[in-house]
Amino acid sequence: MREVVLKTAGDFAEWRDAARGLLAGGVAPEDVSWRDGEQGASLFGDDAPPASAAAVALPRQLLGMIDRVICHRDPDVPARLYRVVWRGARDRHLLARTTDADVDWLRKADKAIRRDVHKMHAFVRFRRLGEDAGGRESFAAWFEPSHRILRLTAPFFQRRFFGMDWAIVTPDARAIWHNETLTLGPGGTRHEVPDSDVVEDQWRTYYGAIFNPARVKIDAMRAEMPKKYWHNLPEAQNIAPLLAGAGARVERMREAAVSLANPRSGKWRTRVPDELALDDDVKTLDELARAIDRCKRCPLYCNATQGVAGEGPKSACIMLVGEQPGDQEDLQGRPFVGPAGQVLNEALEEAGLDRCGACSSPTRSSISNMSRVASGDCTRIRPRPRSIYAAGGSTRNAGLSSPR
Amino acid sequence: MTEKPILQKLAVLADAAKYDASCASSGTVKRDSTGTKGIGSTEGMGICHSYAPDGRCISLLKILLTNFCIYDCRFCINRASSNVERARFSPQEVVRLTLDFYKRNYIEGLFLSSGIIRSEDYTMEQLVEVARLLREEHRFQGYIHLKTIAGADPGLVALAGLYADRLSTNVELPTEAGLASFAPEKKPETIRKTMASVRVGEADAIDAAKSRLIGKALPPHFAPAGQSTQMIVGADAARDDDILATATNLYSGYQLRRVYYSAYSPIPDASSDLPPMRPPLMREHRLYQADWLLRFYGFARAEIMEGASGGMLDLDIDPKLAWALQRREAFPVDINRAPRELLLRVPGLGTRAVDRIVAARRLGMLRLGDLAKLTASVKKLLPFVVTPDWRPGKLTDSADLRARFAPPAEQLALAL
Repeated sequence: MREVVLKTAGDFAEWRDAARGLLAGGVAPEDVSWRDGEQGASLFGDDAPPASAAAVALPRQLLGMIDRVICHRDPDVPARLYRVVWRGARDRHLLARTTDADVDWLRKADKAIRRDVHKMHAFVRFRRLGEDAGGRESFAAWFEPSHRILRLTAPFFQRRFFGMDWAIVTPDARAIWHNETLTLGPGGTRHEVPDSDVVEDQWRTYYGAIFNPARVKIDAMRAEMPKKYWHNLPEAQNIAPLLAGAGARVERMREAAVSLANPRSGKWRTRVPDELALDDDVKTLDELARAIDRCKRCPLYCNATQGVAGEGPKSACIMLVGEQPGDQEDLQGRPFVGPAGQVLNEALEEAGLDRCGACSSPTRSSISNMSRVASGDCTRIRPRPRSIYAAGGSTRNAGLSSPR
Repeated sequence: MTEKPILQKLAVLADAAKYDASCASSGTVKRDSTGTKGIGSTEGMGICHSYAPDGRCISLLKILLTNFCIYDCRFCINRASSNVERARFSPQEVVRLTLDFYKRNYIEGLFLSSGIIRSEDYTMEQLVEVARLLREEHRFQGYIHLKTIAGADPGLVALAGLYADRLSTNVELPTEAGLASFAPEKKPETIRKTMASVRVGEADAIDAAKSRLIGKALPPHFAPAGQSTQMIVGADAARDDDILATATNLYSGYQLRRVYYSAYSPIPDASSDLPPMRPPLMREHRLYQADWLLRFYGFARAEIMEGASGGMLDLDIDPKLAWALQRREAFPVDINRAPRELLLRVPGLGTRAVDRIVAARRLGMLRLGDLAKLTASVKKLLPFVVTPDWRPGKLTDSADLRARFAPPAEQLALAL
């Protein structure tokens, strides 16, 4: 039986070099015993082959998982990971065998680590230490992750809090960001970090105010924010009193008689703009545009964004009438802006016509209403356009051949 | 009038904001503060920094700029005629709070909304100003969600899209009739136009990025986490069918990232014609499940409604199971042979489990014991699947199948 003693638990590089040596020496997983430095070497083990730097080809995904899972506190992890690597070097598809016991274990352990990392990103709470002469603030946090994951989480805090100095102290290790350099060091205690922060009052006020007492769901909260984290979360002190008062708050809401309208609301509401009245007899193109926007003569309005009114000068001598607006026209509220409109623009350009000088008028209404709207457009253009072009079959069918 | 202290304003304006369900901080571009030497980062996946006892995630500082409002939407705690305590933050106060909270790792960023004061444009300008201060003066790289005020000038919406990760315009109620009766000042066409202008902004930004000349700087993003909306469930008479119909139209018409369903919950000083009941949380939950079926499981709305009755989803069992019980002829499904689309329709299999099944079965037959490693509950699958060592036989068609899944009937508490 070979024996490997790892000096630092959770150190990926140390484990990797030992595993490389074993793999190079062809040592099967069942012939290795892994011990950590605190246990010391046993009396009976043979020395392991020397650590090696010789690379072993493994799938990138597997390496990423090992890098994380080595942080797991389970003492069997180095041995189990070696078995996975031993098999992974011989079986390219190992990770896809999701029902295999080793792979199943690896995936679950990896998931536990990733969850712990995610929760650490979420639940670290910094407290302010002060600021230097240049106004750069410094903060410190005490956190107790379930696994030895500070090494995995520190880069996240570096990316996020580049512009301030900070330290995160955990029982196993500490990370310090100072002078734009990240250093990892030994673990510490909670007493190294301030026990309060001036902003915590505001944070707890916010926490209480954002809670809706009519929707108490304690299990949902505890599933995502397990109790083991609570003692390092300032807002968690509020949970018990909030829950205790929730029922009474809802009852009060229900029982309170409806009061009279807020006396000031009459004055406030004078700010609401009056809707422009619009009768059936529209006189200008602007009125027509508003009438189209509110038209409910056919069900097309239900799923449309807006009416698309015609545009162009009142004195246009050519008028184009299109089919109902496509999605681009519907979103932008302007005629002929979709793919077909672009073809039209090119054609107009080739023909030497300026689109701004023409008047285009597609309609949202279905065919029976269309002639109504379009003829509304043409009767309001003065002098009447000399020619009207109907683009598309339905516009021709709408009988626009002879404007009144 | 003396200024309220900041703690009191925070209490009022967070309380006023809590009826907005959205708190997501996900789906935006990756960025961090390494380049700007300021603070803030977004990494694609959102982070919930805390959970309130209502089970909802606290990811963003979700507050209103002010809860003064000239509108009188009857379901809303901030309607003009409500006697709720009023307060107003200055843009600088919101910036201070956001940065103070962010530096202590309490939040992912800011979700700012507001009551309508003076006019839609003025209100929108104030919201945009907060986002501008954060991004430009403080180099803040965290997440910003701005409410777009329906009816605000499209130019302001375009500006908001440059600063914000997400924009949202609430449709409030699923039907036009509901809106006309409960929120007379809110016009469905105005809401749709505002959503359309966000959609146009997104599309333009994508076009600009695609047609960029090589070597030129990337054009700015426009609301990279997209837009979302919220509908209140249970305040008016709309059925689940109406709600899902509206949601489907919004997803396809404006490419919304999310539609939030918010169970109407009693508010202080409520309008007299609103239900003073407990919020319909289970209904809200079933709507979210149906929404997921629409977006990730290839279900059409009409199919989901096959499992419903009278246009309402079954509250006792989830909508996929309800559909499967009506469509027994589609089952059992062979786990080792069925195409992915069919596996997605098996009650008890989620998208992740299906992906893992498809990957694992390439390397060998899956047996019932293997499924236990891939899904949370094999028991739920039993009537609907076939494996080499399991055939459901008559179980698939048994008359009491629903009873196996539905919670046992409870006697109602007798009123004394």
